[in-house]
Amino acid sequence: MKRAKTEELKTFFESLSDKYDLRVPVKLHDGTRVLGSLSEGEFAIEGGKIPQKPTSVFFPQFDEMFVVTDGDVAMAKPPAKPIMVVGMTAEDLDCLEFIDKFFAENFRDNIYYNKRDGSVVVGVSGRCGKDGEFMKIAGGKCDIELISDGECFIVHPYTDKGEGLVEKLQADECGCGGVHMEALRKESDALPKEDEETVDKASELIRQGKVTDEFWDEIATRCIACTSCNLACPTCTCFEVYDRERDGKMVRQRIWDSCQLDGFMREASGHNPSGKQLQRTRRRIHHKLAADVERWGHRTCMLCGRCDEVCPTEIGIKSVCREIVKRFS
Amino acid sequence: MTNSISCVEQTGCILLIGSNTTEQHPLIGTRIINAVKKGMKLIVADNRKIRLAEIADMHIRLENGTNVAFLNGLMHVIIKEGLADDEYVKTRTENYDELKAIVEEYTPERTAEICKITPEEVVNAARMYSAPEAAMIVYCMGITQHSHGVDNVKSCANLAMLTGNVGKAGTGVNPLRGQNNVQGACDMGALPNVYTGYQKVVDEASRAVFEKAWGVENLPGNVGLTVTTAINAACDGQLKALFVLGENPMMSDPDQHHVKTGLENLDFLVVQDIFPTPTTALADVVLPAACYAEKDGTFTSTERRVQRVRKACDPPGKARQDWEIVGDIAKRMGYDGLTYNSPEEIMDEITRVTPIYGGMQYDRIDQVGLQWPCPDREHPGTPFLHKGTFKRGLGLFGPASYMPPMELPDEEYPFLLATGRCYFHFHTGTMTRRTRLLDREERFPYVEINLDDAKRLGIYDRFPVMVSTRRGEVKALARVSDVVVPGHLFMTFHFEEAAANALTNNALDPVAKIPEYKVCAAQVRRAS
Amino acid sequence: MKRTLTTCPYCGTGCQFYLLTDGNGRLVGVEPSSEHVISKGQLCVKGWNAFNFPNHPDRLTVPQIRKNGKLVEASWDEALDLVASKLKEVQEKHGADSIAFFSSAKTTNEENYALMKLARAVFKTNNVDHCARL
Repeated sequence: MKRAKTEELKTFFESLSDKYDLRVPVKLHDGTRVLGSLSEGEFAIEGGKIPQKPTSVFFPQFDEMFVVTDGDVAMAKPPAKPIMVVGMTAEDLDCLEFIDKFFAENFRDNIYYNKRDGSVVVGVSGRCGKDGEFMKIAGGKCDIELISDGECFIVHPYTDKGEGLVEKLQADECGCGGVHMEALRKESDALPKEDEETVDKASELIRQGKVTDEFWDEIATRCIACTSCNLACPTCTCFEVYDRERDGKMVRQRIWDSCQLDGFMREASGHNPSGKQLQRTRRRIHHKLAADVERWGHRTCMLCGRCDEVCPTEIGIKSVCREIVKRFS
Repeated sequence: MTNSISCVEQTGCILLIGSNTTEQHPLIGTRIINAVKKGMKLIVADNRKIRLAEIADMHIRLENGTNVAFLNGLMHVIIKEGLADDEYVKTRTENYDELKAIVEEYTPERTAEICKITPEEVVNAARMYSAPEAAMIVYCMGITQHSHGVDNVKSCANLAMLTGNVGKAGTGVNPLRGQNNVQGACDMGALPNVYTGYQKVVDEASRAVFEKAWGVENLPGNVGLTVTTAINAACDGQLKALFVLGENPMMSDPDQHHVKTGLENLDFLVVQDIFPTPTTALADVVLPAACYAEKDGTFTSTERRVQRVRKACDPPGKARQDWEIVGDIAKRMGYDGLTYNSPEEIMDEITRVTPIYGGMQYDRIDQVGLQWPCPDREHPGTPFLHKGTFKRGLGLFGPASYMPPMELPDEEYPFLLATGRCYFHFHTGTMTRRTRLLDREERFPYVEINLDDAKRLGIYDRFPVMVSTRRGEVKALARVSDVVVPGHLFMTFHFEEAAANALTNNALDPVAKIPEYKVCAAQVRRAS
Repeated sequence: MKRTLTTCPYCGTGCQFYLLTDGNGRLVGVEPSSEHVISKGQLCVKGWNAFNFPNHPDRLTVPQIRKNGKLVEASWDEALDLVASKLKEVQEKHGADSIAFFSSAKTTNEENYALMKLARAVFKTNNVDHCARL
């Protein structure tokens, strides 16, 4: 396997920008890290997960679905260049795997798959997290994984497409016969599993009916309906659909929605089965940790931690789970 | 704000009076929620059961319009129980004796009677606020929008000074500014009595500075009309022409009928805005303007932080930036001093004529905005004011006596109506009602009414009711809850189709000319 | 896709975020600034949705002047000539203080300064205010 320096990776991605719509981690003007083009800021592959959900490259906040002109419908088209997204963590790749499944279920969501089909996904892991902390190795679920050993990145392709791309990468072979990689894998396996255990335990307690409405009411008192938890969550897939008319054209659009809003479930009559903050707060966590377990066979919180970071009142999913385990187990 | 937003994390107690912070300043409200969890004391003095009331140590539902009595009551207890900061009062303030004499009358019992609360609440709140080393007063329009708004503000300042809570971190008198750049508009002298940086127009030396800077002669030295008194002058026929840049007085000013009469009475009305509004509908000329996303410039936040606004896209059609339009009008009037190449050039001029903005050049606020006063390029900005000394030297106690609001409920109009905003909409709704999710959240005008009143009047939740006052009548959906106390109604002014300001009273504070939006007499009945 | 760091147009808290602009120059989203001193990567629901109104089809896009009681489209020159000549006429006939200017708590410092200067330096009136009180 190849072992590449950060600068070599940058050159590699730069060389692909003609063929792909590149979304790589860059540091912007004020230090915020985002998935953008290399012209937007400094290449910033190190530093852990990107604050904004990386699945937004395929499911953005705003999308046009179709345009109607004089009764003719023009569906949204695939992007001119396929998307190449770099910098997904192991948790992010779990999220992506889930929403791929979600958007293919029942009927295939073309607006999503227009962008997802033909895309290249590059994961990042190892010793390049925030403040140098070790990030879990995904070991798959992407085309290429970049695994940091603290100095360089071992470049691990998992798909034919990934192999083909990596061939073009100008970097030395690692030349250790896999010893190096094995050590990193062991380090990854030995990462603490506290979050996972806490969230699984909370999920179990919720499904056993042990978490009371008084508890949810208390948590709900802290929710101001900012919607950040949903908007930052890589497995949140809800959107609102609306039309806007301009110059004789009707454009159907969709934007990210949030189950923390009253209007999310409200019926036209004004009646709302989720009309109280308590119900909406409970739903947010139930959905990921209980309802989805029944539907998909697994929880759909992949422990990325974004909701905990963007929640202004510290009631992200991990915080709430810790509280549930403390009080109800 | 005398202090910074981050002071919420450095204070022992917040007296929150007349601010629905989680709805109107959400990311300040959430800091308060977090601080309470970490042990900070919170006193919510507000008639409505706002979200923060649910987590507060005390929720005091004082009657609207009785703030002066309430604050005097607190000071009475603080003085009587020896809880004042005597050293601070002695070394940093003056006119204490007058304050003491006036608050002497506001015993807990008398205060409780005026405010319709209990004497214990007055005593406990006084003790809670004065106990910690640092305590903050945070307020909003619930303090200012009264016919005695200035007295309310002064009383807040009196209380803070009495307890030594001005001039250090975690303290202060902190009005939260409700619009992105209301602080900046004031700083820039978009006020009838001051130039930029609060340099007075009546002051000859100030006028001389601006005459020189602008290359003009004979700048007027009389204080001009406010928004509210200008409308009165239009009704009287004294004001003949009005140029409105990005405001919607038909929706935001008191007594809509009166506003309409005034605007229709003008010889010439120009409105420059981004969307059609009930105000543009009356204009002789409508000028299409760029919105925040389509221009460069700065906004100044509630904590006096001057921050960059940057152009992300082009304005639609032929819309142009406000400063370009203004410059073109000036040129047509034969004045070239308003022809600029960029907002940065304007800011450079501002820094030259405004001592508190002296160091606010774009290159300095490129990444992180600075808080004024920031007099020069080397100055780091000022997180809190009045450190060590007040601008005038000693802090002046300006005690006030309680005066009732101008229009109180009576037999004909038995309810007290207050108006304000909700979380999902902003001001006159022109932007938020055109934002899909926000519009969906609050689609219809509503009036909050207490459960008991609703039951008595046969009014059901979400059913239409007519709300009327001596000024007008509107139809809205009832929102039945315990958010308002019996005898009270609350409406928002976001909705054109049921303009709350068709109902409000054009009673103004004699000094600040702010309208009494928090108290007028109203009646409510089922819509047939 | 272009990202532009700017300040929220709603309340006075002063949160900052990046506006996302697509290849057609249209606003398509908001990303919080994770490093901002006040908002720290967080926003309220209004901030998250602040990209959604600027391209609303209701936007005013051309100057309009009232003719025979109706607002009709006009060129910038026509509209601004009318504004200047009418204001001049009122000023000459009724005096400087017969004109007032309402500035805005929504617009920038630079634009408030410009309007304030227009009122005072050009029209010689202190009748300039904005809706701080409302």
